[in-house]
Amino acid sequence: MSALGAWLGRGEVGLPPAQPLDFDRLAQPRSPNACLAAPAGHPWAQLTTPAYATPPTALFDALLELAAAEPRTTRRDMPGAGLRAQWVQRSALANFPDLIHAEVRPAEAGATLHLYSHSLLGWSDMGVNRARVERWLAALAARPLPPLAARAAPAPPVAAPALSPSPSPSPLAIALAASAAGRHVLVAGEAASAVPALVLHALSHGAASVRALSALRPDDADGQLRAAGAALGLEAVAETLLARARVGTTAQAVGATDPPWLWWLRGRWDAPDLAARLAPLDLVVDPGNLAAAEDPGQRLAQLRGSGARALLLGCLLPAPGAAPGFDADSLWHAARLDAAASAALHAHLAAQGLDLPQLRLIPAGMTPDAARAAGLDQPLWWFMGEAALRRLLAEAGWAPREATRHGPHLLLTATAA
Amino acid sequence: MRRQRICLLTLDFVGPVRNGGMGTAFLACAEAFRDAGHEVTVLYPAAYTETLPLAHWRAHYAARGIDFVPLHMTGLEKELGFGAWQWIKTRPFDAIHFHEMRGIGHWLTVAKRCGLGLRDTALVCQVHSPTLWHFAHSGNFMRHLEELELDWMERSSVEGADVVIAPSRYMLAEVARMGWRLPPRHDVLPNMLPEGFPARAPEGAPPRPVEELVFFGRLEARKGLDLFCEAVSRLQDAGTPPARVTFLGKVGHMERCHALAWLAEATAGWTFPWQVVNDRDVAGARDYLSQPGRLAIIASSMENAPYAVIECLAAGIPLLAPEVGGIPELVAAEDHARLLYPRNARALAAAMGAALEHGTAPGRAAVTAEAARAAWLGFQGGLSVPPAAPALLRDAPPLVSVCMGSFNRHDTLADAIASIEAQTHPALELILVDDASTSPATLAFLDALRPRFAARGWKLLRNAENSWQGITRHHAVDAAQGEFLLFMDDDNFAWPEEVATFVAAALHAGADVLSCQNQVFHGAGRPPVRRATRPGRWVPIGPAAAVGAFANMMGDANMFMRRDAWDRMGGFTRDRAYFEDWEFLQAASLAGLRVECLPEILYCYRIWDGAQTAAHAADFLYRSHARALRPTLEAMPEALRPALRFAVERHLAGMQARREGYWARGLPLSGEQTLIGDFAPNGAEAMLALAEAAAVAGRAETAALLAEQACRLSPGHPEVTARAAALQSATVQPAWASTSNTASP
Repeated sequence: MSALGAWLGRGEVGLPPAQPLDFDRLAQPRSPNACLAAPAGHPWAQLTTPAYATPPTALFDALLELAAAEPRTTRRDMPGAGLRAQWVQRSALANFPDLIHAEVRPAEAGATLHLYSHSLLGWSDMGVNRARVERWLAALAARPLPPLAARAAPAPPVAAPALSPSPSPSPLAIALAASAAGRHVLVAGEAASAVPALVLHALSHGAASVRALSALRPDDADGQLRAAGAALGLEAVAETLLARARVGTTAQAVGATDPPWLWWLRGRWDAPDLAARLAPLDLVVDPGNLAAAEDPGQRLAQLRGSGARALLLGCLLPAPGAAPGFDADSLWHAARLDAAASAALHAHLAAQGLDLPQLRLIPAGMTPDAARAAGLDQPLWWFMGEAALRRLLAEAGWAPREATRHGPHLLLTATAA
Repeated sequence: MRRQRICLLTLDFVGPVRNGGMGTAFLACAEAFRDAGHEVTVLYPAAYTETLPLAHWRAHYAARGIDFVPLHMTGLEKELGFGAWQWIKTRPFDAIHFHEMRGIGHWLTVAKRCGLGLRDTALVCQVHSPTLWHFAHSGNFMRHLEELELDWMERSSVEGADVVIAPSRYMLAEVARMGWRLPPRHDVLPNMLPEGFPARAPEGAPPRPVEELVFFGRLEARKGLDLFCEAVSRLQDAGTPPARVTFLGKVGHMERCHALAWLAEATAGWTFPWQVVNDRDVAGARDYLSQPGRLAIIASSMENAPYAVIECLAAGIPLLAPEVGGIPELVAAEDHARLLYPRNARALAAAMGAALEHGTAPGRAAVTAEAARAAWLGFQGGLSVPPAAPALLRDAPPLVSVCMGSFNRHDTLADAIASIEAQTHPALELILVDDASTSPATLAFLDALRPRFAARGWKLLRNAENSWQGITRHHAVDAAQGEFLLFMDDDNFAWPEEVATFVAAALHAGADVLSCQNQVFHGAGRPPVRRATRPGRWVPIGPAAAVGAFANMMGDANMFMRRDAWDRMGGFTRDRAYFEDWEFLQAASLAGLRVECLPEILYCYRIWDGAQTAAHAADFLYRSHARALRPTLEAMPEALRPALRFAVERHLAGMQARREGYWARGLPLSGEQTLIGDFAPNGAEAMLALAEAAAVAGRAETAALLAEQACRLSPGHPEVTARAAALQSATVQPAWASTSNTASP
C-alpha cells in the first residue's frame, strides 16, 4: 500500500484489497491509533460488547444500516465473508482513512459482536477510533432488535467453568475476603473480567493494598473498576482506589515500566525483578483455573516468582476413579485422552453438575487449533488428581495448606515453602 | 559401585524436542546412568517444547526413574545458562554433564574456576555440534552477534570443563583445529542408543536385493539432498534406475525454496516413481527402512557421529554413507569398502548401482551398543573431581579501595555510600571524588559527610573543574591504597556481598579484572529491596574479544581489579565520551590480562528513563564507539584495520537504521512526524502533509503558506492541487488559490 495513495484516495481508492480479519489472532498494535470492542474475556479489548439477545443476522443487518448512515463511509467488498464486514471511513479535514472491521457470531444468548477500528496512517489517532466504536455501539444499543425465537433446548456452554466472581460472590471471592485483612494482595489479571470485583472485595475487607498484574491490561481498566463498584455497591471503594492509583488510558512507550503504585500493572510473570517491583506482597490470587493453564508447573512457578508469601487459587480436580486409571497422582493432558477416558470423565463431571463440552466435542487428540475450531474459548488442558496438584505446588516452591471442595473444583491456599 | 548424583544439563532432550541427535544421546546417558544405580536429574532450563507441555514430560520421566526438571525460562542461551547455574549451586551433584552447543555450561565453568561453587563436582562437557562448525558445513553465514557470543561460550565451556567427551575422534580433532583449547583430560566415547532400539543386529546376514533407494535424513542441502538427486540422475542416465526412490525425512530448505519445490525440478527426467515420507518419528522411520528391498542412503556433507548411521547399523538396515567426519569411526573397518563412499555424485551413483545390481548386506558397527554402554558406565564410575587449584587465600583480608565519582547527585549518592558501608568484606576504603558539583544541596551533603569519612579513614576529594569519569576515576585511584580497586557509580547500589565475592573470586581464579551481572532499576527512587532472579536485558559474558569489537559483552564500569592491573593498563582513557569500561575491558583482554565475568548479580544499576536522549547525538555516539574500537584496531595489522572498521561500522550503521541499542532510546516520532517522514523530503507530498498537520494544529496561515509551496513544487498535479484546495477551503484564502502558481509572492 502506498501511503500517498491511501491518503489522497477517495473511498476505497488507494487501499489494499479487503481481507476478513481474524479476531481470535488479532494482535494489539503498538501505536495508539486503534480501538477494539469485543465480548467479555478478550485479553486486550478496550471496550466490552454485550451479549445481544437477537438473531445474529438481525444484529448484522442493524450494523450495516447504521454504518451506511455514517458520513464518508464506504463498505468494502468482501465476498463470502458471512457475518463479517469492513468499511473505510475518511476524516473530514485531512482525508485520513480509517478501517472498521466487524464480525457477528452466533452465541447461546443470541449473538456477539467484535468491532475494530484502526487508522492506516499516523501513530496516534487522538481518540478518533475509540470515539467511533463507542458511537457505533451506542447507535446499535439504541436500535430495536428482534428478540430470539424460543428454543427447545439451550446450546451447551463452550467456555471452561471459571471461578470468577459474579454478582453473588464466588467461592474464590469469599475466600479472598476472609483472608485479605491487613495483607498486601496481588490479583493475577489474565482472567481480566474477574479482576475488578476481586480487587474491590479484597479492599472492602481490609486489605492493606491490592493490585492486579497481567501482560496486557484493558484500556478502560478504570472504567471496569467503576462498573464493578457499581454492581457490587462498592462505588466509594472504587473511587478511593482510583484517586490514588488510577491507571488512565494513555498508552505507554514500548518497554516502559509501569510505576508500581498503579492498581493494575502490566508486566511479565517471568520478569527477573518481579518480586522486587511488587514488594511488599503477602498474597497472590489467581482467578483462572489451574487446569486451563498451558503448563500448570510453569504457572505455579510464575506465581511463586511474584514474591508473595501465600497463594490462593482454584483448580478442576476430578476424584480418583473418575476414569479408568485416573487416581490422585494422575496428571493427564487433554491431548493424551482417548475416547473412553473422555467419556468417563465427562460422565463423572456431569454427575457433579459440570458439563465439559470439550470432552464430547474432541474426545481424543485435542490441540489448540482443534479447540479453536470447535469454538472452545478456554479449554481445560489438564485433568489432575489432588496428589499431583500438591506435587506441582511443592515443585514450584509452595507448601499446600487448606483446601475446600466446590463441586469438581478445589479451592486451596498455599504458603511459600 | 558408588551411587552418584548426576545432572545432565541440556537444551535438547527427547520428549520436548523431536528428532534431536544430541537429545537422543543425553536420553541414552540418562537411562544408562539410571540403570547403573545412579541418581539422575535432567535439567532443562528452557520453556521450549515442540510437543506436549513440560509438566507432562516431568511426570513422564518421573515414572521412569529420571528427575526431569524444567526451569521454563525464555531468552538467550546465556540467560538460560545463568538460570541453570542459580538452580544448580544449591544442590550437590557429583557430576554435571552438559553439551558444548550454545554454551549452556559456560557459567558453570566460570563459577567453578572462580570458586563460587562446584568444588566437589566434576564438569563433563560433551562436544556434539559447535555452532560455527555447523554453520560452515551448512553454508550458513553468521548473521547475528549472538552467534559470535555462542561460539565464545562454547569454547569457554570446553576450556573450563574438567573432562571433555566427544562421540568421535574426528570432532575432537576438528575443535582443536578450530583453535579451541581442550583440557588435559579429553576422550572419545561412542554415542549410546536409548531404550527401544535393537541392542545388536543379527550377524552374518546375507546380501539381499535392493529395489528402492531411501534418502534418509532431513530434506536439505546439508544432508546431501542435491548430491543424492544428482547421483540418482546418473543412474537414470546410465539406464540403471532404481524401481523406486523415497525421501524419508522432514522437508527442509534448499537455497532458494523449500525442498518439495526444489524436488520438482531436480527429479525432472526420472522415469521411475518417487515419494516423500515426512511424517515418521524415529521408530516409524526405522520400521520403514527395515522392509525388504530398501537401502538407506546417507549423503550428509559433514557429520560428527550421526544417529542415522548408528541406528541403521544397530537395526541391521543396509546403508550407504559418505566418508566424512566421524562416520567412518562408526562402521566396522571390514565394512568400510562396502558401506562407505567418497562423497561425490559419481562415487555415490556407483555404490548405489552396485547395490541395485548385486544386493547388499547390513553393515556392522565399529562399537556395539553393549560396548558403548560399558564404556560410558566405566567412564562415569571412574570419574573423580580433579583437584582444584589452590586458592590464593590470605591470613588477612586484602584492602579494597572503592573508587566513586559524583556530580550533583546527593540523593542517590547517599544510598550508594550506605551500600558500601553495609559490605561484608571487612577491609575496605571509599575514595569519593566530587566532580566539581554545583548544587548547593549536594555541596551541603558532601560537607556533612566529612566527619563520617574521617572516622572511617575514607577520603573525600574534589576536582578543580568538572572533568567527567575518566579523570575523576584517575583522581580516586591516585589516592587509593588498596591492593584491589572497585569502581562504582554514585547512582548504583551494591548488594552487601559484592566486595567479598569479588575478592574471593579474584583470589581463587587469579583473575586480574572481574565484572558481574547487575539488577536494573528505574528512576530516582530508592534501590530495590528484593533481589532479581536473573539479570536484566544486558547480560555480559566475559572476555570475548571477538564480540568485544562490536559490542560490550564483558561488563560495565562497576568493575573490580587488581591495582597492578590498573597500573599496567594505565587506567581508563580520559575521553569525554561513553564506553570507557568497554574500552578498558577489551584492552585488558587483548593484553592478556585474566578477565572474568561472574554469573552473580552483585549490584543494582539505575536507569534514568529518557534522561540520556540529548547526549545521544550522532557525533557523540560515533566518538564513543570509536573509543571502544580503539584497542581492537591497535591489535590488528595496519593493513587490516580498514576491514575491521568496515565490519564494525556496518554493524553499527545497521543498528542505527533499525533504531536499536543506544539509537532506540530517543522518544518515538509523533504521528504527524511519521506521516510526513514517509514522503520524500523535498517533494510536494511531504510539504502538503506538513501543511495538513499545521492546519490540524490550528495554524491556518502557516498551513496556507506550506500548501502554496507544495503547489509550487508540483505545479498542475491534480491530486496535490485538489488536496491543497480542500485544505485552503477550511482555512484562510491565500493568494495562490485564486491566481496562477507563478503569481504567488
